[in-house]
Amino acid sequence: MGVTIQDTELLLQFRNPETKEKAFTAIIKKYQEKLYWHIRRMVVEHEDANDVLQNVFIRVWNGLENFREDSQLYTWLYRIATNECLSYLEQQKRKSTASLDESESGLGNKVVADKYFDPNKLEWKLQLAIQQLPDKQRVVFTLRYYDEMPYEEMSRVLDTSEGALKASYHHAVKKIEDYILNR
Amino acid sequence: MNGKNDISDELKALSILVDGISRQHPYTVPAGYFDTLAQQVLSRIASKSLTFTVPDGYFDNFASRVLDRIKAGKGTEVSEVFLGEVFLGDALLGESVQEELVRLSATVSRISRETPYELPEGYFDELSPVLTLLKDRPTYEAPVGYFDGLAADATAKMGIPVKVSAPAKVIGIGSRGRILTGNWWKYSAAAVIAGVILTLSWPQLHMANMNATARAIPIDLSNVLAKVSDQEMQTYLDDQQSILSEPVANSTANLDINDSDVKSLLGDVPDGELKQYMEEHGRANDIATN
Repeated sequence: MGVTIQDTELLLQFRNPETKEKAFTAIIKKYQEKLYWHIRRMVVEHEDANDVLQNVFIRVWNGLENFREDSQLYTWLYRIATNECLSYLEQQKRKSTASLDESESGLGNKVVADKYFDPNKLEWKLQLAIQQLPDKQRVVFTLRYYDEMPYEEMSRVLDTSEGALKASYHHAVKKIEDYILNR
Repeated sequence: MNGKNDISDELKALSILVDGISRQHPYTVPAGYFDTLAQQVLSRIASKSLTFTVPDGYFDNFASRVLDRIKAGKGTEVSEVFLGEVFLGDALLGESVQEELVRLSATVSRISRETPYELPEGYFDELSPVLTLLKDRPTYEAPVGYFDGLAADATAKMGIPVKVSAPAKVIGIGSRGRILTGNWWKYSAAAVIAGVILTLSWPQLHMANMNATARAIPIDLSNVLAKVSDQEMQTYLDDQQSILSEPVANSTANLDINDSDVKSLLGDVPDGELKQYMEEHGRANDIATN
């Protein structure tokens, strides 16, 4: 698989101090958009997505030398990005609970606050529906729906059985449909 | 792509409505964001300093610094040096015990460190003065002459007769005349009496053994038979006669042996031997040859 060989080459370059930064820049360029949109769908706002994405790449920089290549780099990056997203959302929830102000921090509100938001467009309604899902179910839905990730790979990213992921995706789709039809 | 079709089919099966929605993101990204992202991340990594820092080359010199102090005769103060590094800061590094004492109390530091107590001379020369004094002194004592009679006492307690080393008693053989003129007639009389008793008692003892069995069953047959009737005696004799007239169980007369059995039994015996046997023990026409 061409991509895998390229990743292996990038990893070799990363382990060489002379080519480390160059290899890391190449890794960012290669995966930045995929990871950005994965994060953006989870945290909604660009600024939040940017913060999380940069944190993800800093973690990658710190941990890439110890990456054992048991899994693909792509899977490993998605795993870090997902964990970073969930940690960030958890942090936001704790903050909102402390401030008792959910109107600003709620993800649905963030969608509505987007300057391009159009309530008549189905795409925006879908985004609102997605934000109603529990965090982990939202991850499963977006990975499957937008990234078209096979369950087998998703299982490695989320460390969850394929059966559980299928069930989760099924429930998510039904909830979204219900939201779109009834709101 | 097969996976893509599978995912679309799966979604169609779950919800046609959701499947019909465009997958285009409604979100937007600032222009040129991805062009500069890598640079932003690298600059953050470069500027992200560690929480705790150490001067350059600190650990390169650390071991040699410690060794230099040890070689300079301050080995016992190493722990204090470390304590100084950890708790007191760089200003106190290398401070000796005396320097520390001066800093803490000038008065105490001026007092002589010699102890006022005195010891007996050579006290530390020996490992233990007490043991030295007692080394040649016997702790336990045995009674006088204890070991002389120890063997005899022990054997007496074990029941072994003690061989006394006293001079042996000499018995004199005596003169022939003394024996003849002494108590010889007493011994002769005793021997004669013993012989008479033995001669008289021997037949009695022998006869007693012979009659012992007979005396053990004291049955008077004549009296018993006198009480038995003639009829009973006749019945008894008839029974005995019938038992004797019955054929013996292991007799060959009872065996059901035909000619073929005889042939198989005598198959290995040569004809000459069979003829000779019949000439000696039976009639000639009884012979069944092989």
